[in-house]
Amino acid sequence: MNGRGFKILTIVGCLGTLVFLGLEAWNEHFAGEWRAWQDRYAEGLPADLRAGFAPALQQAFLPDLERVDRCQSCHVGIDDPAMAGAELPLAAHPGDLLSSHPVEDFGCTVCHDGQGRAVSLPAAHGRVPHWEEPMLAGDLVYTSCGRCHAANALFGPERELYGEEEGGAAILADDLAATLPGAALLARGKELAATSGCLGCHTYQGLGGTLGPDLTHVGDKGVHGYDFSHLPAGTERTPLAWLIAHFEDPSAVSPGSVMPGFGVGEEDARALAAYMLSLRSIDVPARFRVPPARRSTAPAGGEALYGLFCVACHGRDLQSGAVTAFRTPSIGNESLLCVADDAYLASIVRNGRRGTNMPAWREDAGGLTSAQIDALVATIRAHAPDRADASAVSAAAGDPRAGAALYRGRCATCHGLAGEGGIGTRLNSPDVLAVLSDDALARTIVEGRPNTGMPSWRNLRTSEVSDLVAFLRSWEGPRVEIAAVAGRLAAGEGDADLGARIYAGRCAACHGPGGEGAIGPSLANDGFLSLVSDEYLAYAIRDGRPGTAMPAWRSLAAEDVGDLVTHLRTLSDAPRRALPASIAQGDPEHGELLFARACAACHGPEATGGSGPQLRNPVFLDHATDGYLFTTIAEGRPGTPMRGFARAGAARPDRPGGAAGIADLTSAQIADVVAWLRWLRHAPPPPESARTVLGSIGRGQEIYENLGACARCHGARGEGGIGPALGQPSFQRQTSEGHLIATMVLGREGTPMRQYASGGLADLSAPEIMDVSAYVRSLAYDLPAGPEGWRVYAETEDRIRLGRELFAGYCASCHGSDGRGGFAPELANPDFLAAASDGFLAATIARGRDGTPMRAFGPGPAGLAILSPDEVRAIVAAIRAWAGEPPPATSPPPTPPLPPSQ
Amino acid sequence: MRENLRDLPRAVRGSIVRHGATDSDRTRSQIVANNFFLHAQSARVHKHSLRPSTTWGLGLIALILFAILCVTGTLLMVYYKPSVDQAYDSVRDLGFIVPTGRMMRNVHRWAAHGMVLVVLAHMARVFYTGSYGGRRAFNWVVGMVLLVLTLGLSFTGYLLPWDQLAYWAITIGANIALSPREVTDALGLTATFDLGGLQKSLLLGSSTVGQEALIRFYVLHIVLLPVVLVAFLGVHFWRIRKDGGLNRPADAGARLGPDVRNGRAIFPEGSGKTYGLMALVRGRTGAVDRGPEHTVSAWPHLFQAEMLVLVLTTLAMLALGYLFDAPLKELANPSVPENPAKAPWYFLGLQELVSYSAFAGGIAIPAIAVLGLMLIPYLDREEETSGRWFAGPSGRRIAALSAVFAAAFVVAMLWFTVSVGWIRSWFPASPQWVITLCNPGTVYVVAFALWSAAFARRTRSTRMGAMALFTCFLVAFAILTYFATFLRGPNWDFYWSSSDWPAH
Repeated sequence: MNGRGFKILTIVGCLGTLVFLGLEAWNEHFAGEWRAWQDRYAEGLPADLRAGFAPALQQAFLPDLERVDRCQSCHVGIDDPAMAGAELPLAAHPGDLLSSHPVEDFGCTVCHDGQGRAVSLPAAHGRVPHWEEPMLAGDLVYTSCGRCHAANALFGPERELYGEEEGGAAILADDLAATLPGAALLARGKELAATSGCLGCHTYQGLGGTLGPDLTHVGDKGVHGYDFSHLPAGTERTPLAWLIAHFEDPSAVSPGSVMPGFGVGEEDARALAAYMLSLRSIDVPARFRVPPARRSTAPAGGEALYGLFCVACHGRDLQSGAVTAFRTPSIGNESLLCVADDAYLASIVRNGRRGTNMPAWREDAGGLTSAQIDALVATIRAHAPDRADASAVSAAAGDPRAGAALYRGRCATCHGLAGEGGIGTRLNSPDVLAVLSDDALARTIVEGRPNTGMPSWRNLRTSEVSDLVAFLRSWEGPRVEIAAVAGRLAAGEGDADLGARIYAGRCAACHGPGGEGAIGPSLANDGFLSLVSDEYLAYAIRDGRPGTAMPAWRSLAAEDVGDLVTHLRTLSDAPRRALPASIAQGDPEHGELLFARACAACHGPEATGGSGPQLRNPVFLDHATDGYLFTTIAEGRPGTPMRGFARAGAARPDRPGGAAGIADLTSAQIADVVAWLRWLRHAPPPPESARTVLGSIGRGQEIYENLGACARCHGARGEGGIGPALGQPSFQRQTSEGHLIATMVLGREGTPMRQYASGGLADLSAPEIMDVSAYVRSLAYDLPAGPEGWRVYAETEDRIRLGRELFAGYCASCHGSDGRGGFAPELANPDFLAAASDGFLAATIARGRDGTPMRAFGPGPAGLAILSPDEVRAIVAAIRAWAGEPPPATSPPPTPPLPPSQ
Repeated sequence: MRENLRDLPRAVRGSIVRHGATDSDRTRSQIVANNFFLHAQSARVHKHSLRPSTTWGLGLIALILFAILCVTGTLLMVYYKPSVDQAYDSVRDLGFIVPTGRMMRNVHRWAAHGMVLVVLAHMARVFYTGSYGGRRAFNWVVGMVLLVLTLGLSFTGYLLPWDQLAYWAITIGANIALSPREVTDALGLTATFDLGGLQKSLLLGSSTVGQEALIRFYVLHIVLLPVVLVAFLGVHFWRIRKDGGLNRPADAGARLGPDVRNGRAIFPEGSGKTYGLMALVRGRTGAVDRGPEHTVSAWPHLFQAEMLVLVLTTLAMLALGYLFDAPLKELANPSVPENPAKAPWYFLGLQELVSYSAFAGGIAIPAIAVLGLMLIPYLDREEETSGRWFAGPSGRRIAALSAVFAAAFVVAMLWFTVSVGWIRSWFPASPQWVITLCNPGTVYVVAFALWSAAFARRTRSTRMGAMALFTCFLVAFAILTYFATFLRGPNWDFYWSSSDWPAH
């Protein structure tokens, strides 16, 4: 090649170089798309503005949001109202959003995604390879609202988990539907998530289960986070398409997933997918977050919590949920809810059940506070509401034959077919029935006795409870006909000697050997005996004074009652007096005021008794005539603290308003008091706080712990042992003072509970029994949560060995050897055993669980009397012996309060 | 004064260019000797050296590309922010809003790849023309250092965009640096002597690729390696002059034929005429063909050729930069590994070997290759054929034969490892040292060594043996690089085409 060739080639090369440099320069300065759009925009401007308009690259520089958005270079009219409805990209932003989200503060991509830095169309809209956030299309743009407004009241889980936000008004679904119709999709997704129990398996902001992936920032998962290989052919390979396909049929898209389909349609699947995509971890500075997320201290509604956490597995009906991969027990099972008390349910919710898919929900695990767990338990309870109103139960209205059928089905397994007792208390003893009022029976049936084997039969109706009580009462034999007693007395057939013997055996403990009165009122009282009729006495003996220590002596025959009355009559030789047949009609409201001033000190503020007898007693009021009441008030009862209240010379009921006597009530006022007492007969029961405690708690404790040795059986603080737990709130609620006193006086036949009033080593005087009663009342406390307070049956090596053998024979085929579970749930589960009391276990074994393969093993309705009570107890002991490490206690168990010193 | 003013342009020019019109060989020599930039070259240049086939201008192209890289790199430095938070965005902005930023980045990228390619080609040219012997031995070693520096510059620049491609390529590279651990682990020495770990932490300044690694790579890329490279370049050029300029065959003059000027030979060949002063000087007389008649002045003959190469190289780079955008993938995301994660292309052959054994492929074989290349001029001292492509027709045949052999052998081995497997496929429990010692990579080394030893024995020529070995390695490098670049897919599995990659 010669020099000329070199020159030509060099010049050509230089020219080529200049061509490329020139092309690049041209592109740089003239070819930008945005220039063309800005020119178009300028053309549309009014002339005066057009002159001042200089085309330039526009950008929103947003270091807070870590972005630079140059979208306005083409979308130059985005915040120009004049451009409303113009062609894209020059059009103004639709809606009113820019007034609250100005472009210079928020940019564009924080909502719309895309590549804000780019200034050419495909790159800026992010529809190019290697850009992971292409512009959100259609309704999906509203998923971005969740980036800042996640904690807004509108949105699902937060609505339940966070309280009312401070500052900034909440956007509510209705506002949203009006202003941002597109956001309804997202709102719908959040609502679905909050009501479908998603957090049972998935965690969101530290709350929820851990079986599934954490959802807190699930929207951050880019294309790389998804496995598209199982998508149906032809489906777009985008996270949105994957999520929609996933919600329609999770296991088809992620094989092996236990997540159920929930039966959502395409629209709901889209809503859920939109919600998932909105869960982004964009690091938005605080000033963009409205309102601030704030953990509520108020407990959330149990229904909402159930929807958030439980419904996926346990179902809306508490029977079976959408997650079919787990064997979820039906917590709505009525026979479970009868046996399981709130503490059991709360314990399972709090600690879960290790080895199963039930997670622990306490604060350091699933994240629920105690208050929230209590609300959840209440929600579960509400699905099996109490049907019976214990206070409306009436034995008289019940049908004993219907009650017998109920008894065989529900009670006989524990209490014996004939009420002879077994796992449960003996019921056919006259003593027991005499001491238990209808009210106490009804309350015990309806409320059960938590932590013992006594379920709460909350699913019985009032009439059914009445039937049951009537049936129990039938064991007392027929009620004595008062007419028959009166007949015998009229015929002079009463035998005072026999009566004296009956008196000594049954009455003297309370009324004193000579009828001088102690726990019970004085009977050998002229004033009393001269005023009352034989019928009055016979009624009192037969029906007792329910709620007081006076039992109903229904076990006494007509002859016995007659003899007793005859004996009582021998205690006084005062002549019988005629009572006024009627008195003036008084004013009960005035009477109430008078009673509070003159009578409440002894008879109690609500007339429920104190040092004086209980007047607010239906049986008493039924049989005490107005004249009897009037006369007693007016004249008092000599020999007792009851003094006469009538003004001297005025004690004539037929002459109201007479002159004053030693006391200060006129006849009219006495009539007012009587009217009030009458009104009480049908008044609602008084509050429990109205109870007046007699006796000294301190002395009672002394006797309870030492002389009476009550603590040996009932536990030092009434937590129970061989004998029942006296401190239990339910026991305390269901029993009256009279019940306590009568039980102490009479003992309980067939149990180690002996009579304390007469005979034996530790005779207690009447005041001492009152003291013990007062002390027992003071024991009311909530039992410590944990097995210690619930131990009902003693575990001995022999019993456990027997229980193991029985378990292997009867239970292991379903529950697995050593209770490790199999077809039936695992029993040797620390969390389960921590929650379940011995009573729970015994009742479940004896009763079975309706609607499940767990059948009754006690002497039951089908006559399958396989296991004796002792054998059931042995099995319980064997199961209990598997209890390993209990779950961590969330708080130290409460210690029973010490009785206040008196 | 007025006169001085009038003479000002001439005075200024005269102060810079101190020679007259280029109308004589003297002034042409002065142009070279008096110009700082040109004086590295000789004033006169042998005609053989000017033939394109002598060098194909490869060394010059490499230098020009380096210059282009320095210029574009300096401009890029103005906009680039070496922080993991901003690097990617600043690179994106280069394409979006920096004036001509897209072009600058593209040119820088393509020139970098081109430089690696041209440097390799330059090395092959020097080898095949046998221009490493004798005095030039050390300059060959300097050239090897420059090769390593070039690879280092390209590798360090690879990380700077901070995208997925960069992040995972550097992660792979760092793991190759870690590979001595394979041996120290097998020997149980890692606890006391962790060479691999030391190399990796020196490279990254941390256990993973992050801000520390980015700033290290940045400093290496813009300061340390360029400065060192420029220093070695100076040595390289200086040695070319000191070692006698470009190599040429002993009979270069004869090959060019008589120097004919104005229709007749100045110094006729074979006239038998000598210029020796027979009476005064002993020994050989100055040979006729060793006279100045085959040289021409560098100005303009050499410089116009160099100018053309400069213009064409620049044009090619601008065209590439204008037409093809440099790759930029997603922002680096340590939690989403690229699959497959591939090193820069020039390391992909090594990565294929690393997939067999990290130590053998990542450390042992490259070290053997670089050391072996450096030692070539000291082991092969035959100079008879120096300056001739392939040392003549027999060498050309041996090179071709070796190329065919190496290609067949490498392809067969690749087929074998892909479709049959290797030791671990049959004996899963084999200890690591067995794999390290016996894997396709070491098999290549042994096979090529035996092959070249056989030729060296047969031809009794170290040059022929070296040529066979070099050819084998070059061909293997090319095939492995192609194979790893195009036929390896996710999980380093074999695929005929990336369209067969499993959907994910």
